[in-house]
Amino acid sequence: MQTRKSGCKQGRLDQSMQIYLPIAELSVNILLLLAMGGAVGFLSGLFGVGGGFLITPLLIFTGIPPAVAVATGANQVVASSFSGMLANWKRSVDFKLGAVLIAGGLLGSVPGVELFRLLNIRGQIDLVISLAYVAFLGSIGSLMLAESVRSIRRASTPGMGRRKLHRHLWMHGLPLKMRFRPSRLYISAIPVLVIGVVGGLLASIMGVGGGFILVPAMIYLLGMPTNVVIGTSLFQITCVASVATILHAINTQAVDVVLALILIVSGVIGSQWGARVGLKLKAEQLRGLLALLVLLVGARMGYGLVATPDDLFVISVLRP
Amino acid sequence: MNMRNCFLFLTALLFQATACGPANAKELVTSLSEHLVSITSSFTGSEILVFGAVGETSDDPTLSPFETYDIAIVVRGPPVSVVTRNKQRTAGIWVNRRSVQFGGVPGFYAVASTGPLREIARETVLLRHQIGTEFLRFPLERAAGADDPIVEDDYRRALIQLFANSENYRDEIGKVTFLGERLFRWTVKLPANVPVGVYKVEVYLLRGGQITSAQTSPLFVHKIGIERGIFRLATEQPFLYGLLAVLIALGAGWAANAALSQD
Repeated sequence: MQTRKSGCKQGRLDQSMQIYLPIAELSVNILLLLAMGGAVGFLSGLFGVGGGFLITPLLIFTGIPPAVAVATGANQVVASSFSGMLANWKRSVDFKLGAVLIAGGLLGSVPGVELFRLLNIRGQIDLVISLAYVAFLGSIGSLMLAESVRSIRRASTPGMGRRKLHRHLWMHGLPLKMRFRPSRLYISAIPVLVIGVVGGLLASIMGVGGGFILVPAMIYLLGMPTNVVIGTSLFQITCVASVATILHAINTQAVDVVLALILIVSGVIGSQWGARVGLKLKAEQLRGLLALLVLLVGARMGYGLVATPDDLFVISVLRP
Repeated sequence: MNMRNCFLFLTALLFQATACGPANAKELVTSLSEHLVSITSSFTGSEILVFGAVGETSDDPTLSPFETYDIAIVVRGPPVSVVTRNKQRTAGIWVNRRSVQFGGVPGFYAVASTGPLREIARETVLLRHQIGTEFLRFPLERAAGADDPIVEDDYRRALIQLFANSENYRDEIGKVTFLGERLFRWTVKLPANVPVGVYKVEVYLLRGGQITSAQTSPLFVHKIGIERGIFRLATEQPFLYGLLAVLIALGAGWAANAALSQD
C-alpha cells in the first residue's frame, strides 16, 4: 500500500518548464529541481559529504511526498557515493572492514524499510523522518561546530596538546577479534557491525548515506586512519544505499527514477564546482561551515514540527 | 409498396415512437472534445470541453414550451480510499492523532451548472446523485479515535477542502454557458496531479427541480510513453525496477568520475 499526498505546494511557475514525475505523480518545475540538485552537489563537493541529508529535506519542502523523497534520496546517494568511491579507489579502501560494515548495513536496512512501510501506513512517517533529522542533525551539527571552533582556537594559540592517536576503549575488550590490515587495526567485529546497522537504518528511514555519522564513528570509535575512512565509508554507503533503493522499490514503490536522474546529473555538475571552491578554503573553516549547514537543516525540520500547520488535517490517498 | 418495405417502415415508426417516449433520449445530446487524456513528461494539466444540446421539448403537455431548464455537469474521477488525519499538539509538536478512512472517494470531482445548485434542483436530488462538493458523501471504512458522526463530518469536510486546495475538486456554479437557446458548453480543467483511470462525465437536464434526462460519457486519463513504462515497471516488477534504478545511479556515478579524471 502506497500513499500519495494530494497537493503540490509549489507555486505557479513557468508552465512550459514543468516535468511530470511518474512515481511522485505530480509535475514540478525542472529548473527548480536542477537548481536544488546543483546546489546540494556544490555543497557536497565543497564539504566532501554525500548530500543525502540535504536533498531529502529539500524535496519534502518542495512538496514531494516524504516517502518518494526518502526512497529517491537513497537512489541519488548511490550515484554520488559511487563516484566518490571511484575517485578514492587508488588510495585506500579497507574491503574487509567494509564487508563487515555492509553486513551490518543489510541487518539494519531490512527492518528499516519494513518500519518505514508500517509508519507510512499509520501516517506517522513524516513525523519520524522529521524527528530523526532533528535528533541526528542537531547532535552531529553541535558536536562538529564545537570541534571546529576548538580547532580554529587551537590553530591560533599554538602549543596546546595534541589528541592521543589511539585510545583504549571498553569495546576493545569485546570478542570476535578481526585483523583489518589497511586500517592497521586488530579489533572486535561487533562495534563495526553495530556502526553498519546504524548506517543501514539511517539509509532506509532518512534516505541518507549516513556518512555524517559513519565517518566520525570510524575515526573516533574504531580509531581508523582518516585516509582509509573516506574510501571505506563510501564503499559501505554505495552498497547500503543500493540495497535500500531496491528494498524501497519493492516495499514502498516510491523510487522515482526520473527525479533521481535529474538530481544526479545536476548534483554531479555542482559537486565538481564545489570541490574546486573547497580547495581554496581551510579545513577548519569548511568543517565549521558544514556544521552550521547541518544545524540549519535540523532547525528547519524542527520548526516544521512545532510551528502550527496551515491545515490541521492531512490526507493520503491509498493506491487501489 | 411491397410487404417487406411496409414492414421496415412500420418498425422504423415504432422505433421513432419509443425514442420520443417519456424518457426522451433525444432530449439531451452531449459529447466531449476528447475522450482520452494522455499524461506525458510534459503534462501540465488539460482542458476538456463538455458540450451538448437540449432537443425539442418533450411531448409532456403539462410543461409549457417556455418552461426553463437547467444543466448540471459532474466529472468524477476513479474512486479511491482516502485517510484523513487530524494533527494535534502533543508535547509541543504536531502529531497525526485521530484518523478516518473513507472509501469510494472520487480522486477528481468537478461540478458545473447553469445556476446555484439549490435553486435548480431539490436537495434530495443533489444528495442522491451527489451533485456539488457539499453534497458528496463517502462510506466510512475505518475510524481510529473518531467514531462520533459529527466528528466524522469534520473529517469529510476537511478531505473535500484539501482536494479542492490541490485543484482536484472544484465547484463551478453558473459556469455552464448557453450558446443560443439549446447549445451549452463548459470547459473542465484537469490539474497536473490528476489521478489516472476511467472518469465519468455526467450531464443532467433539470426541470422544476427534477432530473428529466441524463447522459454519461466515459473519459480516460492514462499515462503514455516512458511515464507509463516506468510506472508499470515500478508496480509490476518492483525488484527489476529497483535494480535498474541502482544500475542507472552506478552508471551515472561512474560517468561522473570518468569525466572528472579527464581534467
